[in-house]
Formats: sequence, C-alpha cells, structure tokens
Amino acid sequence: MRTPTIFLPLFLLAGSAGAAIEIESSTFGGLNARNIGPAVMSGRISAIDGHAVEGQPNTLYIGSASGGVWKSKDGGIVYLPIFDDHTQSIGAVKLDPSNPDTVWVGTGESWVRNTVSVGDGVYRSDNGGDSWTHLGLEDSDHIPAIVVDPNDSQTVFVCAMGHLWAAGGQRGVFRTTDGGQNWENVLHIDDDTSCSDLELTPAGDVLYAGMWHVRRSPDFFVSGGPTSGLYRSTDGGTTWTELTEGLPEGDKGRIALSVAPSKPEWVYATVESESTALYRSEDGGDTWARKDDSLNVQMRPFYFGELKVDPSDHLRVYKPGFSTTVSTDGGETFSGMFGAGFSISVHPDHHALWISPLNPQHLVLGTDGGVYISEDKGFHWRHIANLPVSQFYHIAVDSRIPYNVYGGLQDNGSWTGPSQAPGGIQNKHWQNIGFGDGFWSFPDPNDDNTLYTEYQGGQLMRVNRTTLEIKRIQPAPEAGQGKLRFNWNTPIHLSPNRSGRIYYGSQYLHVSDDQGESWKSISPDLTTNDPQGQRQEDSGGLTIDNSTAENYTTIYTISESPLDRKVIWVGTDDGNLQLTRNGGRDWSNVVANVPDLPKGTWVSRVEASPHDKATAYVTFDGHRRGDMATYVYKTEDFGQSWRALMSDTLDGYAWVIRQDTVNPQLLFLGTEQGLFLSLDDGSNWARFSEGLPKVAVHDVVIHPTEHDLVIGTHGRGVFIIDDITPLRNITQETIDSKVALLPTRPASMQLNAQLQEFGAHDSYVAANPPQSATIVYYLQKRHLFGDLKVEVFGDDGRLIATLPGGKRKGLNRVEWPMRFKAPKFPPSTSLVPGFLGPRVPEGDYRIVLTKGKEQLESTVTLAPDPRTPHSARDRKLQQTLALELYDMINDLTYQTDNIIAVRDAARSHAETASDELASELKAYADALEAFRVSLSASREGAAITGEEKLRERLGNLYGNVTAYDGRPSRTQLQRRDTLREELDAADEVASELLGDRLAAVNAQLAEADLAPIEIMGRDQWNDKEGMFGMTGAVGKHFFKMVFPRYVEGALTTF
Amino acid sequence: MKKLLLTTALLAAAGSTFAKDLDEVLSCNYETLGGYDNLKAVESARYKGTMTMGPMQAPFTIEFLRPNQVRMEFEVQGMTGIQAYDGETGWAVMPFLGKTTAEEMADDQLKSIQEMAEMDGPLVDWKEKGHTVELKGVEEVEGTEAYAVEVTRAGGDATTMYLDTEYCLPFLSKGVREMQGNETSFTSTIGDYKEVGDIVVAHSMIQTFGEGPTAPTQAITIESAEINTGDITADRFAMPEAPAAAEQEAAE
Repeated sequence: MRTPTIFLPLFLLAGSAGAAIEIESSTFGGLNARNIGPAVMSGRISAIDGHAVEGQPNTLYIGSASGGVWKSKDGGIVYLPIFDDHTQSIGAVKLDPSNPDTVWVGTGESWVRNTVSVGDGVYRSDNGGDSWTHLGLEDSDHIPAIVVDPNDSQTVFVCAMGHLWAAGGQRGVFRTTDGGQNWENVLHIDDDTSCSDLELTPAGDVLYAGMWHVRRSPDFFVSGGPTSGLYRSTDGGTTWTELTEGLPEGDKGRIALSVAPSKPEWVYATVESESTALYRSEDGGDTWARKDDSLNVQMRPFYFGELKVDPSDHLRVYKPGFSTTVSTDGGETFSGMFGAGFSISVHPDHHALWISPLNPQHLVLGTDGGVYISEDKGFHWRHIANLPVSQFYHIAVDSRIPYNVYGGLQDNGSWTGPSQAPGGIQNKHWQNIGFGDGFWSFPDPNDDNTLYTEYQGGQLMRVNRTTLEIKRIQPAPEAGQGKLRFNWNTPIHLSPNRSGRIYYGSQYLHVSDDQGESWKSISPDLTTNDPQGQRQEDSGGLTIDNSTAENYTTIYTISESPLDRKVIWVGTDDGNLQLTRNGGRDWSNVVANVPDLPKGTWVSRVEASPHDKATAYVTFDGHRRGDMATYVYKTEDFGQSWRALMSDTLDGYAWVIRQDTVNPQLLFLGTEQGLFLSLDDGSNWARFSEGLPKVAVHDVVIHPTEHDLVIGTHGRGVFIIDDITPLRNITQETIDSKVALLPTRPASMQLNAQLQEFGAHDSYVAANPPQSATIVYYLQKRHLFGDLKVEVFGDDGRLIATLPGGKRKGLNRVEWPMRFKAPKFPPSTSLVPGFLGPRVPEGDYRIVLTKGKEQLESTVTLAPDPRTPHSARDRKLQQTLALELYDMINDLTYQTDNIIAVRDAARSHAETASDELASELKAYADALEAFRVSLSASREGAAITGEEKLRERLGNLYGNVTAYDGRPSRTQLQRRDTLREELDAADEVASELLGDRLAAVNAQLAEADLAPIEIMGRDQWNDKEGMFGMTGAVGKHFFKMVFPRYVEGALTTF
Repeated sequence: MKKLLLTTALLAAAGSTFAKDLDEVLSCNYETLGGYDNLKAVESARYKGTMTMGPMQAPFTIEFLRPNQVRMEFEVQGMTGIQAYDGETGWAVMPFLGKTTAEEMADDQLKSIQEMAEMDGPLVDWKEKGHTVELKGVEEVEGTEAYAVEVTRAGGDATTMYLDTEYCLPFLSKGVREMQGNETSFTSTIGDYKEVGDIVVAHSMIQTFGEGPTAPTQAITIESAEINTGDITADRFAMPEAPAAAEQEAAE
C-alpha cells in the first residue's frame, strides 16, 4: 500500500477538494450490488478438487481464475460462492485426504497469461468453506499446487511462484508442520525461479516438484532457463535432489507432474524444452523416458500445465491443453477427446481436471469457458451454465428500456444482455456479438442495430445486431506510418459530443465519422516508441508465444471531454499521458507533472470530467513491472498540476475511475481488489462490498437516465447498483444525523410481463431490480429499540401502506410495491387471483419514516412505464374498473362477515335458549349459512374443485383486470355489470336476513332476556380491516379520478 | 407501570462494553430484556401483526403458553392457516386449497415449530434445553460490533446469533437447518425492541430462506403484544379432531 504524499499549494487544495465526507463501507449499508451474470459463457477455471463418497453425490470445489471458489454439494447441480471476502484469483484448491471438510486454497492463479491476477497467500477452512483463515505466504503471488500429507493433516506443502513481473517474493516449496502457522521454504533455487507443480505419492513418502524460470514484462514473456528442473524429496521435503536421468538437457521451462495413484512408482511429467514432450518414469523418478510429443502436449506449456493419471489405471493419462487429449498406453501416444482442430465441441483452453477416485468415468474439467462434466471418461460433456465467473474487460450500456449491457470477455468474445427481464435474467437473454477475446463493445448511438466490437490486438468489427453479419473496420497504416501497434486490449471510444464519431488507438489516435468505413489519424505516435518495448514477436522463451498479448508501446485509453470535443486525453501503456486542446493538431505529454509516479507506469484509464473541461481523472497501473500500488490523480488545469487521490483504504492496482455525472464530488474507482467510492472528490474512500465480492473491477459505467452504476468485473460478471441517487445526496450532515431520508429516482410503474416458465436448480437466473418504489434512509447506527417503519400516504392523508424498515447502520432501502392493500375476501375453500392490491395512481406520495419517537417526511414519485402502449385515459379506465371491483369484493366480504358473526351468535344463543327459540335460532343460522354458501365456494377438495360462486367470479375478474395496465375489454366491463347485479341481489337478501329477519330474532331474544345480536356497521368494519372505499364518497382522493364523464362514456360506448 | 424499565436496563447495559465471557454476555442480554425472573414470569403471550412477503401482506397472531406451546394463525383471502405445537404434537391447517382438516407435521416442520415454541428464545436456560452455546468472539457485522454466539441444538442444527456489544441484544441470526437430509440456510434480522409489561420483546423479524439472488424474504412485524392475559389455555394448542376444523372462519 502506498501512502500518498501531497505537496500542493494550500490554495489549490482549498480550491480543489470539497468538504471532507468521512465514510466507511458500512455507510453504504444495504445499498447492494445486484449480479446480472452472465453465466452462459462462464469464465476461466483454474483449479478443481472434489470429494467422493460411495452412495452420495460428489462434493466439488471449483477454483476460478478471478472469480473465487465455488462449492457444489450435489454433484455439480448448484454452486455457491464460498470465498467472496477474499482475493478472487485462485491457483490451487486441495482437500485434506484425512478430513474432507478441511480445504486449503492457494490464491493467485498459476496459468500466468498476460491478464493473470495476483494472490495474497494461503487460506484454510475447517468447515467445508463456511469460514476461512488466512495463513500467510502473502508474497507467494501465484500458487500452482498444494499437497497435504495423508499421514498428518498438519503437514502441508505449498508450491509457490513468487513475483511474476519482478524478481523475488516467496518462491519454491514451502512446508508447514503446524497446519499453516509457520512456513519453511524447503526448496528454493533463486529469486527468479518459481515452483510450477508439486505432487505427493498416495502414501505420502515421495514429493516431486517442478521448478521453473519464468518472468513477465509488459512486452515480453520468458518461460525457461537454466535454473528450471525436476526435483524429488524422499524425507518429507527436508532435502531435495534434482532428477536428470533421461530428461532433456539444457534449458527447461514449465514442468507439470502426475503420479499414478494406482502405481505410485510411475510418474508422468510434461517438460517444456526446445522440444517439449511427455516423460515417464517407472522407478519413482530415478530414470525418465521421452514419450509423446504431439501438438497438444507441446502447446503453450505456461498456460497448459495440467496432467492427470486415471486413479485406477496407470496407463490412462489425461493431458488438458488447448483441448484435452488422452493416452491409454502410458503416454506413448495421445489422441483427441474432442476431435481435431478448432471445431471441438467444448470451449478450448483446459486447465484443471478432477477424476472421481471412486468412479474414474466421472470427469470434471475446467476451461476458459467454465466447467464441463463427463460421465463416460470424456467422450461426452455437459456444460455447467450456472457459474457466473465471466471475465469482462470493459462494459457499455444503451438507452433501450430496460437497458442492455455490452462487454467483451477473456476468451469468450463479446456479449450483450438486459439489465432486467421478465422472471429474471437468464442465459437465454444474452446474445453473442463477437469472438476471440472481447474487450470494448458499444452500440452506435445513432443506429441501434449497429454494434462495434473487437478482438485481441486491434481487430475492430462492426456487427449487424439482427443478421450478425460482421464487417472488419480496423484502421490501416496511412502513408509513412509504418506498422500499426495495437494493444491486446485496444481502446474504442465514442465521442460524447459528436454522435457517430468513433476513436480507435494504435500508437496513433484514429478517428472515423462514418461507422468505421474510413479513418483519419489525428495524432503523431503518442507512445515512447521505445524499440526495447517492442519485443513481442520474440516473446515466450522456449516456446514462442506471440498472441498480441505482449503488444506494447500502444495507446490504451482515450477520453474526449464531454464539454469540448477538441479536448482529448490519451493514455499509453508505456506511461505517456497526452492531451490535445485543439482536436488533435497539437499534443502535449503531461505525465511529468504527475507527482510521485514511477516513470513509464501504464496509464490504465483517463477520464475527462463531465463537469469541467480542464478537469480530468487518471489511474496508473504498475503491476506489470511488479508495482502493485494504487495510483489515482486529478487535474483541474489541463494536466499542468495533479492532486494524488490515494489513501490507505485503497487496495489493488487501479483499472478505472469515473466521476459521477451529477455530483462532481462522487467518484467510483475500480481496482484489482474491488470497488471504492469517495463522496468528497477523493479525500476519503471506502470499499463498496454489499453484494460485491472482492473481485477485480475493470470498468464502471453510470447509466445516464436510469442512474444506475453498472460494474464490469473480471471474474464475476456484471453487477448493478440500482439507483445511485441516494449516494449522490449523502453529505457530511447526513453522516452526522442519527437518521436521514435520502431522495430516490422516480419509480417506474412497470408493465406486467411474466409468462409461464419452469426452470431447474441448474438454471441461472439473476435478480431483477425491485418492481417497487424505493425509500432510502441513512441510520448512523443500527436501530434496536422502538418502531422503525415507513408509511405511505395519499394526498387525502389516508394511510396506504405500512412497510417494515431496514435496521442496519448506513443506507437502508425499503421497497413499496406501489399498490393498495389487497382486497379482503370472504372465507372460502378456493384461492382466487386476488393476492395483490390494485396499483395506486401515478403521482407523488407522502412518506413518513418513523424511528422510535422521531418522524421524518419525504415524497416518492411514481411515473408510468415509459414503454407503456396504453394512453393515460386507458390506464385510468383500468384503474377505475380495478378499484370498483375491489370495492365490490369488500362489499361482499363485509356482508359475509356479518352473516357469519350473526350465524355464530344465533348458534351460540341456541345452546342456552328454550327448545322453541333454539329451533328458531338454528333455522335462522341455517338460513344464514345457506346464503353464505351460495356466495362463496365451500366444496372441499385438493385444490381443483372448479367451484365458482360470486366470490370466485369477482376474484377472477379482479385478478384479470389488475394484471393488465391497459384498457379493460368490453367483456370485462360487461362482466362487471353482471356481477354488480349479482352483488346487488345478494345485498337485498342480506338486507332482509340482517334487517327485518334479524330484528324479529332480536325481538324473540329480548323476550327471552337474551342479549340482542348486533351487526357491524360498515365504518366499523372498514376501521377493523384497514380498508376504505375506493369508489365511494369516503375515497375522495381517488374519487376525483373515478368515472369522470368521459370515462363513463368510454365505458359504455366502446 | 414499569415505564422506566427499558431506560433502566439500557443504562445498566450501556457503558459496560468491556470484553465479556459467555455468562456475562448472557446476563447482559437477560438484563436488557427485563431480567431473568421477569422473563420466566411470562406464562403466556399473544402477538398480533402483519407478515409481508414481497407485495403480499397477511395478518397473523402468535400465541405462546409455557412451557413450550405455540399457535400461529395467519389469514389469506379470508381463510385462516394454523400451525401449532402442544409440546408433543405439531399440526397445521392449510385450508387454502380446499383442505380444511388439521394434519400432523412432518419431522422437519416439527423441528421448526419446536424452535418457535421456545418462549424465551434459545439463550435462556440453554443448558436445560440441551443446547450448546458458545461465544465465538466479537465481530463487526453489517457495521455493528457484535458478540457472535453460536447455538447448537441437540440435533446438530447451528445458529449464530449476533448480539450488539452495547445492549447484548440479538439483531441478526444466521444458521443452517437440516431439511430432508440436506442443509438449508437462513438469515434473520431482528429489531424494534419494545417493552411489553415487565419484559422487552423484539417487534420485527425479517427472514431470508436459502441463498442466492432469488431467495425469498418474509418480514414479520408485531403490532400488538400482550403477556399473561389469562385467556390462552392449553386447548388452543391441541390438535383438533378431524371434523372440528371445518369451521375455520369461526376463528375470526
């Protein structure tokens, strides 16, 4: 962690920083981030372990490259994240063979591609992943393997890589004999050599370790060197011997190992060398023989270092790689499990394989596209499509309703999916709009059917959303420009001022005003153009690996000021921060003005302020040179001076900064270790963690009209913080208040949209935003004593709803479904579609928040769904009819309640009355009951009796009318009339039974000195049930909208 | 009248946030709730209020009778559902789909209603009840410093209750319950503590069942609470004979 040093003139500080607002993570309280997946393409899986017990489903632990650890207890149907509070990059997952509830996790993926994250050591859980203890090795950075001594659970070995981008760190094999309290570096070569793999025999008597010379630089990768080798220990790791007999001479690279469980003296190793191959030892490592060297064995050893021998067949060897190949002859030959070439049936790039020791037919495979399970030794595979570990690089949004999110992912192309969908967001809602590794993608702001996407190394494409036809539109070198250098992750930028203008960055800044049909460069080479940084064609070490991943000295980030189209910022991967103020005619590199920044640090994001054209924010990222510090700065004078915005709260190298579009003091910062917010322009920061794991946040976007914060993570998909209006309005005064109400966006009364759909537990369904108006308040501390509730009042002062309030410290969100209370139904034996009250009319509603003795007031605004196809007049018709039916149901219930009460009172009196009177009372009660039964279903049966009486007829009509926001059908209106007649007729009978007939009964009771039977008045009933008439004189507030003359006309004439 | 009760208890509890052992945490908890003797002096209780599940609300009544009887009624569309336990038998009437007779509960439901029947909650007299209770330490939970107290019931079901360090009141519980041989998790937020007679009773509970984005949530808000009314008798809790449940609406 870097401590900021700020040496700025006092006046500048006073002028730039707003009043401090001290926040902590708990300030955000229950304002949670909502994950929208996607799980359809899943993401890179780096480690798998499992536990098999005869007669029970397998327990699986899935370690992902940057999305934490997931557990399935049911053999792979449902997966739950169990590592959300910790570093999400996983290198190894290992169960203690003596106690499968003890789980070891080594953080820091070991498939060290250019975009690999970084770990912070070793964790152990003793309760199957419910809780974790961090056990050190913080500097190991990447952990390819962990083994646990089968004879002693306290003895564990960790294979550690140490720093990838620099020398040093904790490297080699570490041993603990006290369950992780203390570690001893029992195998260490030097500060440049890592451990690449570690195997322990089933008996726990022999250890094998691969040692690997490996180093990454921004433009270069080296796998292999003289210090690599294969080592063995036969004394519990205390001493190690290098094994060489039969292994290649000269430099070696990554070594992967697998001991045959059924014949432990047989050991297999893939050894990267000038001629990479599989080697086999039949004598516990003393001597080795070269075996297969097919393409899949040789390909990309740094990325494909997994090797597994079948638990019961020492001749059957699996080699996960670009594909997975298998040998059935002890490694002499391998053949493909998926066919040849790129047309394989599962996602390529395989990194992890678990084979059930009880049933070796059962395989669990981890790939760049998630987990696959086979039940037939790998001949057929089932994709696990409910693991949302998708790795986004960048995201964008559109202006549709509901809006869509766009983004590109590691090895999974580019996709778009909705921010909400009827019934929840599912895999089927996501559409693939690109291929390869996807990065930036946008819809054209003028042409919604046209999308811009790209794949690695500057392959820009224009996609027709409907036909999915693709046109390649990348810029070509102009005369004298030489070869264009595009970053792996090449920036596309849409002009915020000139709709339709696209920027694209090589070493030059290219601009197109015709959807990429033609391009013009508007800059010279903006990078250092240092030839020392252009070695990518020779990158890889022993195995050349020129995938464009090491393209360097390129433009990485572009931002045109939303306030002045001539002000354009460009940041490069080699540390230049360039500014033009005249649309590209002149450029100046202002990075030298940034204080306390190591020279050449990668500019990860530059963001022109939406509030002031001289202001910009910038993040720098030094991790590719071994510098993991957070760098974030602000200028208010076109880059002449910069204020450091770092604090000790921040963690992880920075990917993105955004200034809020409404409140300039509100900043969002995404780093490799999560999301951080500041409410005072960067003076104080707090981690946002509610609903958001400690995952790398590569991009954040503020939706301009929905006011949502959309968060693109590299490992856990996309998250949305619905409605950040409350955040925009937190002040120090809010923080200092015991309780404070905060404003929210107007609530959209969304159209009902839900059809029948049956899923299963393996279906991925992401939550929608609440279909409610939201009331948000801040509590300085947790509420414990007295009421905490929110009441909603109409403008006539009537209480419409009472809602239980959240109690937690910080922000609390209470949802009001924007409905009246459900109507009260008479008792029956049948449910009707009347669980929900009718929707309230749109408009403003008074909110009263009660906390103990304190009350605060505010207003929420309800607005119609902007998509509504229904006119205001039609909506009013619907509401009118719904409220009328609501009252009719309550009228029936009121009468029925009286009938039941009088019936029971009559029966009760009959027990003490004279025979004659008792007989009269029983007859009266029977008449009442017969009448009641004529109004409500009474037949008993298991759910489906089909019986319909007036209650059920009213309920069904009410349900149908309230489920549709538009004009009711003429049939529904006619039905209302029919039921009204039935109700009136019932009312007449009730009036007779409870009027003259009851008076007569009461006269007889009086003669017998018995108390009269009384009926409840309507007002009294209304009070008891919390009801009020919607269409009668009592409902004045709503009466004014009920049956105005033209509506009545429409009801009768259309 | 005991109007000063809560204030007194709060004063007694406040300012004593030094590290406590389990017994001290529990004493502090009893003290805030009105004192052990007052808690044990409650023979019966009746709580009425509203259950909220998303856009749906339903009125409910819960009645307790010492030592371990409970009856909960809730109303949907004019029909009254009942769940009850008389200390031996758990039973339910679910008339909503046309079946109005009482049915005996399956073991998993029985376990759940037996927990509900613990009038004083699991912490009071935990040893006598056969629970194991352990103070796991002090944690910050949702921004509030809390004692983490783990209650393990005889069958192995565990719940971690978080008690604020100022007043020792539970405000959050998390646990797993074995259902049909599988584990199901739940989270309960507890609050709105108010005086009822000589004791202090939580008036709000918000429960989430299961995990994941679509896990259902149910809020229970008590609007009126009475204790020792004298009219809650054992016959309220006994499972009715089959035909007797037919007149459900009579309960209204």
